[in-house]
Amino acid sequence: MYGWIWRHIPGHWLVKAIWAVTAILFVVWLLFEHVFPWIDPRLPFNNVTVDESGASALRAFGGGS
Amino acid sequence: MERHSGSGAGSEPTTEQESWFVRPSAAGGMDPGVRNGAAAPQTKAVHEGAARNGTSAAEPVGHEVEQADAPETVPSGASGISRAANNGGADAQATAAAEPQAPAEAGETVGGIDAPLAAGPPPLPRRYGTPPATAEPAHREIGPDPLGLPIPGTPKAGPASAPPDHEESAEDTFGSRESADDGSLPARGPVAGERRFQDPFSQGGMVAADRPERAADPFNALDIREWFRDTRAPRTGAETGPAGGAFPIDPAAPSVPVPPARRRSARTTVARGVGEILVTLGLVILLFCVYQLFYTNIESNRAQAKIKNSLERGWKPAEQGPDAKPVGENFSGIGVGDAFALMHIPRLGRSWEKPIIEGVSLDELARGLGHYPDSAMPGKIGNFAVAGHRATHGEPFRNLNELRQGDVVIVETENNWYRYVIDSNQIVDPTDVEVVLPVPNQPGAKPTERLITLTTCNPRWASTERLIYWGHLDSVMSKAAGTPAELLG
Repeated sequence: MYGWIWRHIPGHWLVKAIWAVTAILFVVWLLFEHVFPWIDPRLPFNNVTVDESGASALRAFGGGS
Repeated sequence: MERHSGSGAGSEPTTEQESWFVRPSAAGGMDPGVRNGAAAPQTKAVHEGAARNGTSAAEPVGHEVEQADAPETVPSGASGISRAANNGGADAQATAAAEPQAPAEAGETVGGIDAPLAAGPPPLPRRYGTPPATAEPAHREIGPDPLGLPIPGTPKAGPASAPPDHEESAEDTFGSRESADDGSLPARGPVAGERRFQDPFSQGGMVAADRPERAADPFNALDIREWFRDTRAPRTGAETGPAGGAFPIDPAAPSVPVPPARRRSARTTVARGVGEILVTLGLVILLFCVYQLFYTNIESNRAQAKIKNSLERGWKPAEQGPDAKPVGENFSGIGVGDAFALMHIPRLGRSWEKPIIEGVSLDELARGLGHYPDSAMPGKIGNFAVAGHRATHGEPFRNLNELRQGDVVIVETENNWYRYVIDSNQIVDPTDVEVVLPVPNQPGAKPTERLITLTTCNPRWASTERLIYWGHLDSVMSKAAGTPAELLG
């Protein structure tokens, strides 16, 4: 896979390396800004409230002040 | 056969050829190559690399090509010195034989570089098998280099005068894909430029090339350059340019067929692809850990700092004296997502101070503590319920389990300090929403007390339970009257 990509980047190896690093940075950015934030809420340690929707549950129990 | 390439633009390769010589040894076919480094103290470095190759054959595959010209040889000189030192104990006879050569080379090289030896397969251990035995060393795989800087004055190559690139050793051993056998591609003008460009990379490698003891070093420059080798599609005959007439190339010929050694089976390709995907997945998961453990905290802390700033800037406490009475606050107009207070818990740290935001969705919790929207506001009768992350996203309640009965939780609003005292705690199921009711665990009961409830997950990295702390309002103090003693610490 990587060999294939490398072969399809045109230019001198230095140019290829620059392209490759750019591509890696782009992928990391994509992961950090879009993919990971999308996965994040689906992980267990994000649930810190009683009931997923604490507010509506409160209402159901006649809570609130 | 051994050609010296890469001398300065003005110098002729042929003159340097004389600096190489091969001296057949009387003792068992060892052909120590000798070289002198004029600048080096040891001018009699003896090279015995060829001996290790053990092959006879005047087979100059170009790997011994060395270059050293005055302006450029500083690194070469250094390696030459070290090499000379390494070989210090070598054959004296060979050294003696080398003596006459010294002056000639001294004139043009600073540090010594190695000796080309009579032959045999190139000493570089290669992954792709032995090079084809060709009498003609000159053919290269790398095409004209887009970044190559042709050096004015570099000799335009004819087959006879073309200095073989030292790359050839590598290429040969690789089994050149484009012309493994024809050996017909002469070095061209651009090639000289390209090789020039690559000089800084190649010197160390070349030293290693004719030093078998170092050739296995995976970090030598030549190897590294091979990793980044130009792997574009093989050039066709037409692209290779004129061959000086000596080696006619059919312009219509497609690329030269790949030698069998270079081909990979489909299974190898698939296995490699799968392996690469797995490694990539592993890296992505590792990155995700970095994201969770560090990046979300960084983001959250940044957001919290901004919220705190704007909150404090927006606050305009009523000017009053030291004996000021707390101002009644009604917290009207606070919508989900709005920050309206700061929480201080001295037990969790002198500077532990987190913004409280209306709402308990992940959006709010990522920026601080979340206030259950239907619960009471600070200081009001009822239950002031707050949730916070215990892991990732700033993890404000990371150490909430360290709270003890009697610990103080101070909620700072625009005008007042609300000082709550912790009474009890409990670990409950995630669905036990009764804990945040106005009267905890008593649905429908009419609240008479001013309570606080803190919720977070338990255990820290799971969501199987919730850790709950309850407390009651102990006192209210106007901000104009000073700062609570717990925060002055």
